[in-house]
Amino acid sequence: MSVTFAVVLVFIILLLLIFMGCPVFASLGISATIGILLLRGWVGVSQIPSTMYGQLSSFVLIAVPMYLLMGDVLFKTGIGADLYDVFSKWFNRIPGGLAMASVFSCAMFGAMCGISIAGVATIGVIAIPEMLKRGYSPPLAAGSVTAAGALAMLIPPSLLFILYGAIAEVSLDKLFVGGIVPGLILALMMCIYIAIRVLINPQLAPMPDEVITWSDRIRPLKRLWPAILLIVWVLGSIYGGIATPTEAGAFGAAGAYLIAIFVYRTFSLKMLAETLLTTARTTGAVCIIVACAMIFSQFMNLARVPEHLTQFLVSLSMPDWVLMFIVMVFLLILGMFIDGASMVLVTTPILLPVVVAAGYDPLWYGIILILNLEMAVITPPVGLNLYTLKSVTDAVSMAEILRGTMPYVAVEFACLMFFVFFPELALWLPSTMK
Amino acid sequence: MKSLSVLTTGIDKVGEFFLRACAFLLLLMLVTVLYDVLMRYFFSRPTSWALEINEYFFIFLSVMPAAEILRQKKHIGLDIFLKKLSGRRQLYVEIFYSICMLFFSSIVVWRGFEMTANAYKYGMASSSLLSFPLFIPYSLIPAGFVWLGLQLVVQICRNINMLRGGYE
Repeated sequence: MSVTFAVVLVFIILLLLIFMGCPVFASLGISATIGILLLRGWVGVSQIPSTMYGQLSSFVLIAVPMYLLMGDVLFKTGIGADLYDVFSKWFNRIPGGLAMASVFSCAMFGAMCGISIAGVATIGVIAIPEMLKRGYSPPLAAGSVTAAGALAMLIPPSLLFILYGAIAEVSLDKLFVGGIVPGLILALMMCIYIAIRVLINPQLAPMPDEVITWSDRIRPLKRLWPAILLIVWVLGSIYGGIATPTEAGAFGAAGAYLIAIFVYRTFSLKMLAETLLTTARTTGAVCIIVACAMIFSQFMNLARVPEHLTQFLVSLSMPDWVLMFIVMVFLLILGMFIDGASMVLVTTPILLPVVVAAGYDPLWYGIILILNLEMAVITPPVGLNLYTLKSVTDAVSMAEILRGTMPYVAVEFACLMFFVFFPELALWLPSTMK
Repeated sequence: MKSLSVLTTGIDKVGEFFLRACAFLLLLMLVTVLYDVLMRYFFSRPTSWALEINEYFFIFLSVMPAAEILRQKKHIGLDIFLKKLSGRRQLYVEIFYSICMLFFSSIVVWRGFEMTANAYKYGMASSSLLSFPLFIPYSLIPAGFVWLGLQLVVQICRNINMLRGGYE
């Protein structure tokens, strides 16, 4: 059995199963098992359970359920309404201001919690009806939430950075800090895009008639304190040396419950049970993929795919930026079909050696990878943010969501290329750390 | 036939129980992680068990609810192409990939059981102070996939029943 044949066959089986609707974890597991059987026979597959065990028995990954729980609890508190209220008053006089308000609300949510779909759900459920009520075009409204919700992956704390850090063995402190500048620049670029659209066609976002005085703007600011406290609580616990980023997830979840109890008074035993159950289900769905992705990369290593790929690409001796461009386009296409977490877990072991061989910093690649995944979560057919928004509001149709979101892929790609060509920009802030 | 439906409902119910157990463990994880940080930071006396126990809980959370999540059709996947097919064809495709999943689950169960049995036979324990018997967390991997396998069999039977019942 030639190794090349086995690798090609495994990829065909993987894609076929995924397109058939077979769950991603099983598609990875089945195809990798067949591959290992082809290369090593029945002895080879005896490693599979211990590979899964080895991958899962890691304290770092406990961040997954903790941040998911935090996101679920925040969604149920109603904190999204307060965030959105403040930003919509401040951006009131700017063309497209309400859409920009949802971008900044999502960004601020992202600074509390590192889960993209939690941002979309929490802000979307408030912002979409509000924008439609003021006569905003449904696609413009929808796009500003689905795309900006993904800022949570880039702005610390971020779950995907935690996953990347665990595989690539890059310092999480630095990854988190590295996400700040790209996250803010991307948020600004989204606002610029909204402004350009509205200036060209003012009917997309009618100016509100109501007069908002400065005291109207200042007064609701005090309702931001739970959000600011939570940000300080989570990030402060990490950078104050109290907790690891994983433990900070537990801080965040507990903080979210405290806010639900004392500030919004939405806490009840029923709410506790519901949030725990939803989070348990999402954790189960995500983490079994983590385990099976490891079997897949074990197969890739048996077939020495990362090594051969690196050798091949280096032998082409193309300029580094061409290589990075190819890698980014490849990730963009793959991201249409695979969710963010699986992307990090499956592609990192294959592509990181290539990138490092080209002389790039693994820290930089982590930032760029997550920036790239901003697109993966909003591109169909598998774009979890699109479906999340649809699941929390019936006010916009799937077609409107898609139409409003697609331009952001271009905005994000432009932002990505900016950081690919100027790596210093992404690395500047982390390099100031000792 | 009645006993068969009791059996399938039983499998559903146990799967559901595993998910509920996960929700409870999640709360326990939250509390123990916070307790450990508290003891370490304020009293400089970290627990010897919190990190390790939580790793085992996490394995439980990752594999044990797989069957129930399958029943609820909440696993992450790409179903837009499947949904374009007619009802009967969807059932055929589901049966096909369920059999593939059953093959994968069987291998995990078989080799996972071996791994667990070896750990038990040689009395393998974790290298920490806790010296926890490793066959217990090891056994979670085959156990989760046993239940996933049973749920797959139930799903295949239900699909065949629907096909036989003239489902369009």
